[in-house]
Amino acid sequence: MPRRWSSAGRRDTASRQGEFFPHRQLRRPGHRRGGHRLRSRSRHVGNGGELPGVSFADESCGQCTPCRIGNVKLLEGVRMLRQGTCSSKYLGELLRSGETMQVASKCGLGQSSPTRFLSIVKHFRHEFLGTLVRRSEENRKKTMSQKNPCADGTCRTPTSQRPQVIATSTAIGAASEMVAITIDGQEVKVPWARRSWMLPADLASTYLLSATTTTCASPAFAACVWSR
Amino acid sequence: MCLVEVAGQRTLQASCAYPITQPITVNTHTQKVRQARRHVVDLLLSEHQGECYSCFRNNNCELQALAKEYGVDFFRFGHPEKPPHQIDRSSYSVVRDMNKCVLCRRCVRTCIDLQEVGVLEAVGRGDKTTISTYLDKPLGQVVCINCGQCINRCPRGRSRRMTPPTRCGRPLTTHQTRRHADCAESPRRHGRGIRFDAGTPVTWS
Repeated sequence: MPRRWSSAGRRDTASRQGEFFPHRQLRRPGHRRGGHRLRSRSRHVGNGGELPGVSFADESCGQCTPCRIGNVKLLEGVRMLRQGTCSSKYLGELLRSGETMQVASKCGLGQSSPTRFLSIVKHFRHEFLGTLVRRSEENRKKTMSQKNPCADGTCRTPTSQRPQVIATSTAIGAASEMVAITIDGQEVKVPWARRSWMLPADLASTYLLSATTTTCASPAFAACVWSR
Repeated sequence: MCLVEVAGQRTLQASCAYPITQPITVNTHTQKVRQARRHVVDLLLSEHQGECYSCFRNNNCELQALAKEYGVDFFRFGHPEKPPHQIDRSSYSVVRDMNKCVLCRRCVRTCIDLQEVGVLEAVGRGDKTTISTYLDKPLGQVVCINCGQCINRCPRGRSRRMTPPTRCGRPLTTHQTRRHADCAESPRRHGRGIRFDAGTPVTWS
């Protein structure tokens, strides 16, 4: 039987359409024609602007499952990445499901829609993750300055009694992953989403209530809680 | 879920839709196939409002059996917490619960091809696809003949019978009333009913 789509001896150009890859890989076999996108050294993909948008999820016809639900999950994952709330574990799940979409979808839309995401993460992983980590940190600081009564001067707790909260983990984490924070010199493990006590009031009150009653029984900490 | 690996093909093929035009070699249980099927099960479960303990199809469910076969022990892509659809109880014999639908379209093909009624059809595209009726009316207001074949074909419990106690409780306990039974949930039953002699077809009566 003739092997019509054999990849032996040559690269399948069509299957790599839409890939992002660095300039130094330009001369590799299979990259000489087709709709590839090149990234020069002066541009970087880390801001997430090159990630797939809503178009694939909208264009899917909905007949085969990998394309119908997979595109939606991919889009959700991209949004989580942009917000800095996607864990590295879930990123791995997204990559594997993207590879499944490439082989299990019926038509070319589902087969090619994860290509951009997969190739960006494959070729620009460090650049990509570094920017997103920085962004999540920036978001955290922004939230901190908005929600921290100590920072904006509305907290009436004396400076000497204020808790010092230091987030020791800067990794991208899921809401359920635990990170260690130091409160008044006492190390407490809290979920990543609540790693600082400068959070929206509803979340903060939930966490602080439980923290004061279980592990973190610091009076200064509790005083600052209730003064808000 | 019917993905197989055809020798010489780059991608997996859906065996239910792959025309055989020449002798081919098919592998059904390679690592690639099992991985893809596992992901498909995970994706289906991420949109399936499955409350297995309280589901009437518990232990009689294809999706449950597949999840067990492929070793699903957690929800990889999440799980819906609130039911997105309302349960349609307008029909007197068929309950439609779209929260459990996985869009396999067996009910659509049964209704159109086998029963030739054409009440159900897939509407929308992408993740907005649903199985709907004419103008999205409730099942009690469309031309459904209540044959129940969609229930028999449904693998997950999207549609089900109206529960017997609520419908049959009173007649069965009242001695004055004659009983009648539906055969295969079909309206083409033979009347042993209220004002017919036994054996009279009561379709359209």
